[in-house]
Amino acid sequence: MAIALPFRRGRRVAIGSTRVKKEPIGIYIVLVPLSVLAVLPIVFMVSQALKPLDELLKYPPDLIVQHPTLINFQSLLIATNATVVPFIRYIFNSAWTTVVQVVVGVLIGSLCAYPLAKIKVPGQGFIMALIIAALAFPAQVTAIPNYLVVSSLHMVDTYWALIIPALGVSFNVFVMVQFMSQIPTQTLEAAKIDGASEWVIFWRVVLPWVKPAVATIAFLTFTAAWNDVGPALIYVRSDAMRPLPLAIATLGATTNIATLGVVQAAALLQFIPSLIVFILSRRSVLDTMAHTGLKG
Amino acid sequence: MARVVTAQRTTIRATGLTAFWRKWGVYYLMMAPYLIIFFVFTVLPVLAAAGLSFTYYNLLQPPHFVGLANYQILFVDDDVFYTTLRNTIYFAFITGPLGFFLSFFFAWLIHQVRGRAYFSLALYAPAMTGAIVLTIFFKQNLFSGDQYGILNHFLIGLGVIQDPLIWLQDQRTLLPVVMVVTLWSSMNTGFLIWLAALGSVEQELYEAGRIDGIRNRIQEMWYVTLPSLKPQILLTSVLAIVAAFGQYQISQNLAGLPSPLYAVDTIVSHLWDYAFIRFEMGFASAIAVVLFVVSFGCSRLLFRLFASND
Repeated sequence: MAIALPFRRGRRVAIGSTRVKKEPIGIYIVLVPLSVLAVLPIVFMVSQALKPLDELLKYPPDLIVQHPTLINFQSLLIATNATVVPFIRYIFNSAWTTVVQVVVGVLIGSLCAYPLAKIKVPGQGFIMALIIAALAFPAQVTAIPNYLVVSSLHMVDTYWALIIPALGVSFNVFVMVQFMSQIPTQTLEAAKIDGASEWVIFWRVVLPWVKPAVATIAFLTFTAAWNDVGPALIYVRSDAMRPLPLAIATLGATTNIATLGVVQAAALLQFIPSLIVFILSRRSVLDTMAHTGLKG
Repeated sequence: MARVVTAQRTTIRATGLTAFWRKWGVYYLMMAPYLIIFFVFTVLPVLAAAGLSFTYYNLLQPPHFVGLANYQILFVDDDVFYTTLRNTIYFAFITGPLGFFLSFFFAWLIHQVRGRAYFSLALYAPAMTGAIVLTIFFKQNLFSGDQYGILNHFLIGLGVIQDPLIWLQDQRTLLPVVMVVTLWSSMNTGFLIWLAALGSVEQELYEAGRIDGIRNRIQEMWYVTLPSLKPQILLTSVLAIVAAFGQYQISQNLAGLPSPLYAVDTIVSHLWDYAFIRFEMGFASAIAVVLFVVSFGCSRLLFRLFASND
């Protein structure tokens, strides 16, 4: 016989009548090794990046570095080696395209989502159907025509080619629309009665309200833009325009002793911003995702 | 406002468009930047790909119409296509659903315990590393083909194998290896959606279920949690299968393009090959259309299965 106990928001309470709730050890037995397994390659990568050359050549390799050193980062960033392009340039390429994609993407995405979510503009049903349909096939389907458009606009091998086509993804707008539809209409009406124009309403009322969704879209766009090499593989011709992941791939293509530690250091540089951004936005992301789904 | 006199009415009728613009214009302006990019780079390309697939186009001469020839070659003469199709189906129907279930299962496990922040960070970390970084570890260390690769070392030490296996060249081991790596990095957006959604199921439903006799967590999950989360199931499964169909980077990074005997090439690898290496845009567009039809068809199937009918 079960007793219905009062609950506190967000916490689970008793199952069954006599047992007081306790997380079964069994779950920890699964989760802990799993987490370790998932994190292991990353821990290894961090170690490798900090290892001096003698440790890198050691076999079998140590999981944790014995004498950590920053020399790999030094060689990577400061010493300009035989190549013409300093490594910082690659980092800048990635950083620039990512930042622009995040800022512009969030802006135009929320701008578009507001009328779709709260105002029923004519043609809205059609547009929403297109946006949802765009979720249903992989982006590679559009790769060829996109290339033709970009090259006819003479944008190949520029930052534009890496930024603009990528802004056409529909997931961001989709998430934003879902989140925005929860804004209470009274708030918007009140602002309108106070004489605010739509733009002011957007900036002062809507955007602050959807901060978690903004953070989420920023996070997703960041991850995609920072890590994705697809567009770069197609559009980048000159060495100087390469984004960071592509540069790492070239570095790591041949395993030779001179670049061992340097490659790992570069990979670590690639990983750390993602980690920081995730930690900063985790709460907001979970808040937003709680309200996202497809009714179909 | 209802006091508008007849004389006014004629004016309004004559300026219908201006009235429309006055009422809706600002909203269309807001939507314009995104919608323009969306149409140019997402919607129209699908139609363009369909159009191009009926042509022969090598970028040097203007495209010329060849009717169904590309499709004929693709379905009749192209053996590599069927290999890549088979591989893609393995990825889409094994790794995809497996990753999907694992995302849900792990999110559910994490939801039952404390310290969720740490576990979720740990399990999401692989997705943040990106394909390139993954490759360095997996290629150079774990699956490296000589006796210094960690896995080889381990297995030889255990006596399971005598000579080191060249994981990334042997077509017997390539497919499982790529699947494992894909799974390892598949805790991504879907995983986050589950983590969040699990916290949003109303507590009263659990209470009601308990009163009705639900005894343990598994029953709880099956009878209460899952049905409440149907919208999330639909969304994450669509995302998972679409991602699986679009897979090519892990295969390419681990095994090269093309992989030995095309063992892990996917449809997208095939598309890439013809589009950006051989520059046969017409044929590659035909592949793109097939990719579109297959993935869109599977997504619609999922819609049928999981749509909430309220």
